[in-house]
Amino acid sequence: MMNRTAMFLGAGLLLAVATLPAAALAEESAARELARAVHERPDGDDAVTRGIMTLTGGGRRERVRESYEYRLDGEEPGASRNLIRFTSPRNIADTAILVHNHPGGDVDQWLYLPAIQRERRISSENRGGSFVQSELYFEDLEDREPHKDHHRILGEDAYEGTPVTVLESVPVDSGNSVYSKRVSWIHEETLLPLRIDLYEGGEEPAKRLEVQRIEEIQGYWTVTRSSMTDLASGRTTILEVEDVTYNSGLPDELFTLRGLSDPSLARPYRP
Amino acid sequence: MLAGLLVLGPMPLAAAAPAPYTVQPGDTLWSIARDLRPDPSVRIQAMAQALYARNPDAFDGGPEGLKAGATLQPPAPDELARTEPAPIPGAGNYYTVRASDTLWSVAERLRPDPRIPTREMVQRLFEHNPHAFDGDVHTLRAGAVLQVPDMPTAGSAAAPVAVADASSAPASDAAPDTPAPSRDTPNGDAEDEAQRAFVFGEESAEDADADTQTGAAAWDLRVEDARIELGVLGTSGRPVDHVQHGRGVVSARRDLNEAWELRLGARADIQAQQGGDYPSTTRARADYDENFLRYRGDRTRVTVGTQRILWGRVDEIPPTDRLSTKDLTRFGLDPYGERRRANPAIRAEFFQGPWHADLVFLPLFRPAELPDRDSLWHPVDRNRGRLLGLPQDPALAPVIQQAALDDDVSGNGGAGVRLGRSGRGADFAVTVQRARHSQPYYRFDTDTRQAILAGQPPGDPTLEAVHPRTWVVGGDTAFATGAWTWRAEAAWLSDVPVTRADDLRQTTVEGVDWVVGAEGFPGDGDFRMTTQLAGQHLLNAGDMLDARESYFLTGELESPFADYNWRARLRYSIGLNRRDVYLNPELAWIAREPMEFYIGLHWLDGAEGTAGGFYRDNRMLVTGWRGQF
Repeated sequence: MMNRTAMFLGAGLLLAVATLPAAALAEESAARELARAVHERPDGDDAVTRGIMTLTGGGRRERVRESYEYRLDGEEPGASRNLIRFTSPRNIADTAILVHNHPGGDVDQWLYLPAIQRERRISSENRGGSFVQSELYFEDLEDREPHKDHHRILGEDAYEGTPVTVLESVPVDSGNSVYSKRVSWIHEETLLPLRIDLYEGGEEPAKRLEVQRIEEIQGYWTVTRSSMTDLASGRTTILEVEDVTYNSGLPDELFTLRGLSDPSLARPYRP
Repeated sequence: MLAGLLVLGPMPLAAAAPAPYTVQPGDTLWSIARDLRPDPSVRIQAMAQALYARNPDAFDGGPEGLKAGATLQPPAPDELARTEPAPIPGAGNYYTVRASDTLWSVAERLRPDPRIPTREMVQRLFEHNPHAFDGDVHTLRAGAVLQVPDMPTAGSAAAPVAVADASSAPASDAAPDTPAPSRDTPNGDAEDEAQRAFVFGEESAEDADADTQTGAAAWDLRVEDARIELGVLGTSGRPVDHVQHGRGVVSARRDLNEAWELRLGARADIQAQQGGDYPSTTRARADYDENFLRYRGDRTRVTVGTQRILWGRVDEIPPTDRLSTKDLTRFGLDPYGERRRANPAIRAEFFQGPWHADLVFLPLFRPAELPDRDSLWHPVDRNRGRLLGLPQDPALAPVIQQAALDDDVSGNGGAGVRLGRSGRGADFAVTVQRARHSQPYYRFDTDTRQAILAGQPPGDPTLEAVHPRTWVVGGDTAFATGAWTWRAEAAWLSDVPVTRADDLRQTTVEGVDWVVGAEGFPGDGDFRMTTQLAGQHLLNAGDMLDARESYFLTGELESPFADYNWRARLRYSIGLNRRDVYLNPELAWIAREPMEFYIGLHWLDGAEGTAGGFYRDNRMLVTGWRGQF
């Protein structure tokens, strides 16, 4: 994986050397470097997050979903495991999704449905489907590696009075993303995007992620309140982190199908 | 990165030539630029570009090729471009006053350190923001933007808002890889630093950390399923005019200690029918649900008690699901999981990496749950003299009408083992079971059969329900290709009950059931579909009344619409070699979680001897409410 990435970057660079003036080259490198820095931002070896998702706006009845998310980074770069378990409302309580991200980009994904007490493998390529009826697509849960996009720095800006760098990312292969373009307002101090405009083909962004609050928790900068808005309909999903614990030494066993189907296994690790 | 900080820490922020930096393993150009820039007014990006321009030998090819061990000479501070205008002291440390705010509440929230008295913060906010007040300290204007002043005792100028929870702030050396902003304040005492936060825009009042976490409740009580359904039948040959159905399933779960869990569950069902030429009936019945004691070890799990154990992988009709007890009280109107009842079982499971071994023993056999004897869904239709699964026969009809039912269910329910593996790329499992058919197969008792064959009316006609034991050898698998998930499952059965055509004697033959299916989201959105092709075969069957081969297409189409306020769904099963159709379109209003209101149709049709044909007059329109609490 590393080799492939390195080769990919090397090839990209050779092409750039051949075709671009030096200034443009430096700019593109800086953009790629920024994207990589954001992706490799320190976030601990593992984390447990208690989150509340509020679906609101656009005239719909407000709905609230509560969940725990467990994340464990693998030994190899690009390897990670995620388990998201809903605890509320009751009709989705105990429903869980387990994701194994492998180096190289292939993904195994399973859903646990309590009604039939079964773990169901599901394809990870349904990127455009809504995640539990929120404004988040399944793709928004993905840890998108920076080499999948061309990056360009559009300039400096301010977000709610805070200086940020604006980075544009366009998929190298348009087939592996729902989005035609993402523009991120990146806070350099924390390497967190404070706003992301997500384009789905048009001239105008289709969705917008905005960060309202970040906190340093156990030394890691953590987004504790953000919102994703569907700009056409006005529907918004508010994401709040109620509790987070980093580096609690989550065992591999939590991220197996046994851990997926048995909520009791992870309960002791809740913050 | 720590090394970078150590180098930087004691360094005076004067214009003296900065010390060279040796690249450590794990460093990136970005991280170094962030740590080496002389002050935050220098953009990290500008610093990175300057480092790259000044140290070409430290890179292999381009900025990505930073060499470990190389020495970087930082640019002199005055060579660096700075952001304009002057850096805002502490990004984001502005606050927009809301109508509900008081100066005190704002001051309390904004003070960077809980040790700062709120009173002092009030004073400083007032002094710093004369524009936000109409004259005196009591007249804070809503909508005004307050600049949060630097506080001498605050840990860091870059910390705009300190959360009033210093006790939870860990020592900064606990976070090895973190950009510790204390580097901006060489005098700052890192260990006293409050937890830091940035707030962008207005923070709403309800965020004020209302800790809603309930204490560890001893019992987790739930209503797993509550529903009420009303149905109207429409065909001219309808057996009844109206049906009603209600159900409640409750559970209580509790961890006794780290290893032991207790679960209790019960259910109540009520079914009623009126009108038409069948008798009106109302039946209320209570039943046990899952009641078990469970032990969890590192690699083991043992569960003893009544349980629902659903083996297999495909939807609706998994061929290897042979140890569970079917619920036939509503034929197939409910989705798969709801068509199974708990039965007494001892289950031992072993986990090792991706492997899972599952051993089940059923000490007491529990046959399928049947509806009321006169229910429109009973497989023995005594009102019209028909038997589910066999073609209608005018000669047998009077016998079936008068027959008494006899069900012998003594003995154990069998046992089985399932060995599964779930891992990268694919999941699969194999199983061997010695099981009993929970669904009753009806045969005429010997006297009745001999009377029928002799052409005489039987004296005491009796239908015996049998549940033959069978060996089951099967397997299942699932894998994803592109956007589709494929599932396949098959089982060989040593004994499938059948009725011989010549002498109406019941016997068993070998059988094979298989299902191949796919699930996907065509359109890459919320529309989900599953499609399964299924086959059921009787092997070496001579002249039987039962169908020797059946092929089906089954599946589900589902999509939310109107801002997720509604859901449309179609469940279907269509016979391919014989007409045997079940369609269940449903429209549900799902905006009021965790309950939903629905209206649906159960449409059945089919040839003689098929389920669709047997129940074709039960077509009905239903409406109902269901929820979980």
